[in-house]
Amino acid sequence: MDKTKLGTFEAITLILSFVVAHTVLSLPKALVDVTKSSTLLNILYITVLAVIFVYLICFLFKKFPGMDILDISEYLGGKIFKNIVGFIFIFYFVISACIFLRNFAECLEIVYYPSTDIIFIVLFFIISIPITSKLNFNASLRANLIIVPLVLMSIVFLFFANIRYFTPQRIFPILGNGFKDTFIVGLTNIYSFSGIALIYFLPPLLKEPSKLTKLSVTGIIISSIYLLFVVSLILFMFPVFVSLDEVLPLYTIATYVEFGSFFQRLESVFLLIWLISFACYLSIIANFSFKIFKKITLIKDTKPIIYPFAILALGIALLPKNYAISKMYETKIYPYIMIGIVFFVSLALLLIAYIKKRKGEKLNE
Amino acid sequence: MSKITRTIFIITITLVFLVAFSPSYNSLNIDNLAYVVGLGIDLGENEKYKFSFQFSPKKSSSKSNSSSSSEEDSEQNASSTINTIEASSIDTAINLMNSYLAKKINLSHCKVVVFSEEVAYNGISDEIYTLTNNSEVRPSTSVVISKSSAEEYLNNSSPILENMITKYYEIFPHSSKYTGYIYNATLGDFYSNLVSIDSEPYAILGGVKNEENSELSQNKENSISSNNYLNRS
Amino acid sequence: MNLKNILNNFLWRKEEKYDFTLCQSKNSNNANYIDDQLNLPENMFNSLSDNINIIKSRFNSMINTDIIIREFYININQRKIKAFIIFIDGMVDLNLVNNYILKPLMLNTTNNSENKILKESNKKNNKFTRSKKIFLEQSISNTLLPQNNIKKQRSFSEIISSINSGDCALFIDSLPFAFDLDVKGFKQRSISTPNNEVIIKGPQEAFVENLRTNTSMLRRIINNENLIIENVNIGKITKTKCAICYMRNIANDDLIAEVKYRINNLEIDSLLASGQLEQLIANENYIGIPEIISTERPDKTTKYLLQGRVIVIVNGCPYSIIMPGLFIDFMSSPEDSNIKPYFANFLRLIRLLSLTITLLLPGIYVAITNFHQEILPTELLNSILSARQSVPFPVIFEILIMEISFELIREAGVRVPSPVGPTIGIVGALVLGQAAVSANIVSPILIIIVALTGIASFAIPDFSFGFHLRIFRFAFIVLGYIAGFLGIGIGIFVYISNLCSIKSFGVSYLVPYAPKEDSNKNGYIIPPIWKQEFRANYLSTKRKEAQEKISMKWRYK
Repeated sequence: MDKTKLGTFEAITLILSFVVAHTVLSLPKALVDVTKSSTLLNILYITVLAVIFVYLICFLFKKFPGMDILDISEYLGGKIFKNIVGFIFIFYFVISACIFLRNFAECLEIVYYPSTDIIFIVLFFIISIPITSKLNFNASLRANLIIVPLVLMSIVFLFFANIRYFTPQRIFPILGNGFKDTFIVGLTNIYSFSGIALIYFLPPLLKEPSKLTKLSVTGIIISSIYLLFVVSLILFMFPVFVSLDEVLPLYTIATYVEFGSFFQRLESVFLLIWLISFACYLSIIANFSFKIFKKITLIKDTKPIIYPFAILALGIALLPKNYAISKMYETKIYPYIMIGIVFFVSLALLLIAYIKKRKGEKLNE
Repeated sequence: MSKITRTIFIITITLVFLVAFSPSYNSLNIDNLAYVVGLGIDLGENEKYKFSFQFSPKKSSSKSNSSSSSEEDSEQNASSTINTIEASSIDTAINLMNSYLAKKINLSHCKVVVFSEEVAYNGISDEIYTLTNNSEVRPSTSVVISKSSAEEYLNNSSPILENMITKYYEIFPHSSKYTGYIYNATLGDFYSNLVSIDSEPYAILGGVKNEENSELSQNKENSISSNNYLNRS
Repeated sequence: MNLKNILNNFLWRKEEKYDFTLCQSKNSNNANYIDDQLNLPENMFNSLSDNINIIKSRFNSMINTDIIIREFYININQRKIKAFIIFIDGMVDLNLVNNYILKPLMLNTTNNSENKILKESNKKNNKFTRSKKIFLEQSISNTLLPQNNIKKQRSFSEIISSINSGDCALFIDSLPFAFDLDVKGFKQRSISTPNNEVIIKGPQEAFVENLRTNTSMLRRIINNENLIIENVNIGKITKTKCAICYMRNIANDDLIAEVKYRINNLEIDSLLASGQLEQLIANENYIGIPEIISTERPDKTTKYLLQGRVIVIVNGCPYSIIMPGLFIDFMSSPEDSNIKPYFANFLRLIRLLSLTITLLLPGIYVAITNFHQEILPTELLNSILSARQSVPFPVIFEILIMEISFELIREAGVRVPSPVGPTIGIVGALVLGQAAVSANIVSPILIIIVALTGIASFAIPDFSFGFHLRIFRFAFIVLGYIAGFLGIGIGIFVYISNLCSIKSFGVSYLVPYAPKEDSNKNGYIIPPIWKQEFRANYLSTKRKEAQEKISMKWRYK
């Protein structure tokens, strides 16, 4: 049944889809809040760190051809360990997706639908998940492949359209709040590369598994270029020391785009593109959660769990009482969960499995 | 599920969404909105401020006979509706105005915000904050400080060469490209200069020429980087 | 008497009731009475009287007036042998029957030399009766029937289907088989210009209803012996002839096998047109998008044949169906290879634009006027507002009225008799629209939008694809009305996901855009003709190169 194989482009856009969905919300503003005017330097710094990390992961994966992280955890500690790791990842995916969904729906409600209940806007997104999950896995991958380049183009367009409002002097002071703040405290900014969580599941799905290193590094570099564009937009247009435009900062920037007197206020068109990419992100998360679930519980077909999953997602998305709580989750709690799961737990798993395998090989010789 | 169940499900969901989103539709429908073209702020007698809302003139549909349309246009050129109300802040004024008018006020096509000089002496940063926070207001709205009262300014801006007053409001700051008497001061620039530590905000200075017995007055605009009285907030 | 009649007519009128209803037949196996396979013996008999009785009863020759059975005696070997021919009047060429079947058989005077050889061999061979039969069969088929197409049929079902398709059958006493002679001569439409797929620069021939003429057109254009045309009979009652065509050294074997498998496993009664066949062998998808191309132009057909696809032509329908059918094929016209690549790419852009407009423009208009008015420039907004001053309906209602009336005009225009045809166009579109605007039922901007959408839907080259877009336009209107750009965004996402998941005969539908396969530079834009070296690799053809690396050798010699 799992005949789907990913080509290189599809895998790269998979990694990008997470970043794209997150930057539409409040990621760039959160980054700028932490490191103030040295954010660009910070992004370059964490890009280098992320690339090194990804090299390390791919090198460790080479020892286990065709196995993703669930298989490796089974190799380490048996079935129970695999179940635990699987559940951790499902928990991470589902909760982060639902909280982002709630945030996005709240922002949409503020801008466009002031008198509608939040449940209906969330329901709109949730309804698209079963519809597209009933099709095969290929559908959401290819739709992603079509849409992510559109989003990238829209950001580049925004950048060049707003150039006259830039004050590049806002990049000074270069080290922002100081060396410690930029490089040590600012290390937590690495949570913006949330696409790394997908690299753990890629090896069995690829058509050419030998290209894993190349495509994941390409994905990280492209997402870092994208982040640079977005952050420089926010940094140069708005003053850093005032906390403003917390709601959809990119949307506010899109309001400034003006070509003559005809092309004004095009932000709804940008929001349309970002909305489609967000729906893509949701369907990819749903598909990966189903895959993990299938691997853990060995069910034959994922069709019956689609509807309970959708209802579960609806429930989680409606858990926070208001926008403030979900925003706090997104800016304060999510980074640490992400860093813990994606960077520490998985890396530890891989290292231990690598050592175990090396020991096993040495014993065999 | 069978085809019938799926069809019924789709119809039910569509109806549910129709009902759920209809309040927003009612408030944002093009038929229910009144578009404000210019906003004027003066000092008020009873309350803190006196707000004037200038609406775009109503053009009646004239497809059948084009001969009469030119007469109607020139008539409507002179008159555009202005309503004034006294309140202590912009939001209160909009609230009161909504209950007075049939349609809901929408600021997404507001092209100019006029403050009178007395108001500017007292400081306008509160109103600028309100306007910037409003998601409907465009950042390319011009900010004008008027030597006469804002209501007179709005009343007497009748363009010679353009048919519609909105076109005039959009274009006249752009003459900064070839004259020195005016500058393209927009709300977005004003706000970011206000909050940043290394620059000061600026606006257009305008006024109404006092000519007795004349219906149509002309505007004279100067641009002064206003340092002293705008910083009082 | 008369008074009685008059009184009777006054007082009591006899009820004139003519009531005819079809009652449910209790015996569900009524069809067995005239079932094909049941009462038919397998092979033919030796005696002529048995054969003729069976044929007469099968064809109901007592009732059927156009079945002609002609019994006669054959003159051979100075003996007279009984025989009969049977054919259907109107389907055979009577000249051919008279001059080339009856005349040589009944009036043979040229076979004396043959008799001598027979006499000689008769002396040598002792098995008289057998050699008599063999010689009878051989002499009739070798010397007495100057026909170019003779088959010997042993079973009744085959000879009956041949008679049904216009052949003439010759039964001879003491021979357990019949000769099947092809003397077809029915009237049919001649080759004309295509009605529905008009191009400006290119051949102007179109398929006709007869299968042989169509396959002859294909053969003439391709001119290669590797073109295989296989015949299949589909349908239990009509046994419609279909031809499966492919290039043996180009097309993928699995594709050919899949097509043949699907066609051979159909249990239907009758097949009348290629549209039915299209629906019977294609996978069904949720959104009703066509997966098979159907065309009436032979040049388009041969272009796809040479790319490595499989064609099926159905007898009686001038449309050929092409498998697999992909998204870019529905967006291309047969003219793209005839004109310069700049123009072809420009036209492709225009078609993509018309696709977007057909699908999305009314929905976006509804979404903008309901939720996002800030996109519009202020002057446009003012004109919309002033035009809508006296319109009583909300925007959604206006749009639905105008769209539905546009569909009505379109449907009515197909069936209008030709003297009135152009008038309906003028009346329907101009006057009705103009009158609606003057009566303030709709606003003029809406008329522009509906007209633009209609024109864009005519720019789509393929008919069934345009149909699908027309239907989905309504879904987007409803979505735009419900939730503005949120609804349209989710609608676009679901639509694109559905498109990406479709596989037409094993090839993904949105190739080469979505799976991003390197289709050898045949993808986004059409390259110049000297660059089209490779065939598209999503079809997995056997012959990869269509041109050499330098195809215009005259430039570099």
